[in-house]
Amino acid sequence: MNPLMFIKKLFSRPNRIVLLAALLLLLTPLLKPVTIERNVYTFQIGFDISQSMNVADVRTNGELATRLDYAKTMAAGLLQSLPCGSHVGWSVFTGRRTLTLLTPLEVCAHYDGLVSSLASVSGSMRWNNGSSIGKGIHQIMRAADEFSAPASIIFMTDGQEAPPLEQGQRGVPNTDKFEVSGMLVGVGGSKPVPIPKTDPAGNPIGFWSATDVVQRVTAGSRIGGEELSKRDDERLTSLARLTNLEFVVLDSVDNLVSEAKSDSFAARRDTLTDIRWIPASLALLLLLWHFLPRYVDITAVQRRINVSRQTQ
Amino acid sequence: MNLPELFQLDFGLPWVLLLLPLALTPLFERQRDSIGIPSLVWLPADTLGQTLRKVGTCVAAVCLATLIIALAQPGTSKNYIERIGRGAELSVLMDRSASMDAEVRRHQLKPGEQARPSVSKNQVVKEALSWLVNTRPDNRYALTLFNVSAIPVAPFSDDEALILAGLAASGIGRGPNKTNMGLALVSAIEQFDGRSYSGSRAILLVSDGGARLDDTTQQQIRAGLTRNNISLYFIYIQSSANSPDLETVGPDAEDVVEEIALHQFFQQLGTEYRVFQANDPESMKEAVQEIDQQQNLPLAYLEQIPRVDYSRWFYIAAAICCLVLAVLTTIRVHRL
Repeated sequence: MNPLMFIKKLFSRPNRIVLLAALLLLLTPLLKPVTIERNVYTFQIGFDISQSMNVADVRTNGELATRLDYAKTMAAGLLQSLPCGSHVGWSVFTGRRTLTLLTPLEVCAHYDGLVSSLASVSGSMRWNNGSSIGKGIHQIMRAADEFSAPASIIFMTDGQEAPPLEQGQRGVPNTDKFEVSGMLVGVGGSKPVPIPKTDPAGNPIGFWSATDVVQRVTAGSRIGGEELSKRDDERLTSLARLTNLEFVVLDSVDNLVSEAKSDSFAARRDTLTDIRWIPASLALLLLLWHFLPRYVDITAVQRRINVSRQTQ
Repeated sequence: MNLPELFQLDFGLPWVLLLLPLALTPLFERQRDSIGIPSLVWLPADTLGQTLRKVGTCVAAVCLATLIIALAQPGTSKNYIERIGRGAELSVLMDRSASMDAEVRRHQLKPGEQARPSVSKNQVVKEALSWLVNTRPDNRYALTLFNVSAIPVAPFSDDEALILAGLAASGIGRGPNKTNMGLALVSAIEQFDGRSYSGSRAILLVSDGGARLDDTTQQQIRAGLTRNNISLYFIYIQSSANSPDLETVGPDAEDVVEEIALHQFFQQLGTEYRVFQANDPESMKEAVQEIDQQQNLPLAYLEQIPRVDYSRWFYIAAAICCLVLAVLTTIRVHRL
């Protein structure tokens, strides 16, 4: 076959599509990632590790889990779904203090480290019993305000105050001076249940009884019920209002992810983005179109052949 | 890319693989190629043509499959190279109680020396340890804070940014009162349990106080350090001029002061122990530098290399398949 004939056949009409796809595919590996401005997020996530978080009254995948484990599962899910370039750090709260464990780290490069650090968050870290949640929220917001880059906070708690607040007490120092947005995430069931008691080594030793805990007193009469715990939506709503945070109740990871990925927590940042999929999927479409079985009206083809014979 | 690595392929966008059945489309007969011929009986069997056609179909299917795999971003992410470096496995056990938020005691100003801004003990420790992590990234670090409880922040990892973030966090806010050093030490020792021995191991205890440990705890600590072959470095941050000088106290010193009691217990351990006393950023840095020199033995470690992306090779393979397809169509054998 002479070369001219070969080239003519090579570039015949149906072949052109295949050759165009080949060209696109050869160009694809040469494409460098481009910088595109995308939404990224920075969250300092705080866990309430006080004793009431040991209550197992939430379900994940059909199994009962403690509130703390549930909160950790949610945080792990969020960590997984945040886009690269986002940052996450951990804090723990009990008693009257929030301790920052890790300042925010980039979620893709330090994913393994963040996961292993999250795994070690547990009730055994507890340095104090009781929970003055308002103080804890104030401290995580102050910490986030100190970070070199702006961060939003996510604070996961059941809202159980111990000792309980007296009527008219705010229970939270003023947070207006912190330029920190965020979410207060309610964890726990809506029915009051007993709180497991643990010894300093973390072993279960029954439940807290009514006489063990400080009870609320109003106008001289005891109200009681502080030895039981539920997700205190009323308290959480008022805390959220006082601290300008959003109050959300967790019922799934997706729920948390969609709340967290709202524009109010997003920052626009240049991120390197791989764009090789664009020419590659164009090539795929061309090839599929080329190979797709299709019905051709054979009689029409024959008619065309006949016409061309007649004209010859 | 050798064979074992191929089996560890993972995909950046695994869902794209759901498109793989589309690679079968070329196997369906295409009517476009058919010509209406009333009878084929008179035609000789074109075996070569049939084979070429089958080859073409296979190449087309392979082409689509490789292209779909390429789009799913194949690569290997768990790539480790074993390296021998110099360094140690250092578990940093850092006092995070309220007393560490107080300012360090400065040495007496010499005549003509300018007073310097005050820094908290916490800050001094944080800076010295961050320096260590930055200059010795080959070391493997773990970080545990302690007060009444042990607060593991970062288990042993090769990600030094994790330790740096933990150290940065330790300087934020105030710590709770009271400490329980015994519990913290036991917990730091347990971090080594079950880890394969890859080089020298040390616990870096940083505190401004001491502790009187009960017999059970003492035994646990002694047994744990021996079992795991761990050296112990105690960086003692002196709080005031009244803080005892641990290096000059003799074995007969009164152990009424907690720091002395702790120091004497540590000295009786069968394992390596050293005390460093720091009272300003300089002496703290000297202590850390000396520990660094001590812990500079060969250390086997696995270095993780970033994810290797193989999609480019799949794109090139798909492109080559396309070219082969185009060439195949030009072949017409006239042999009648």
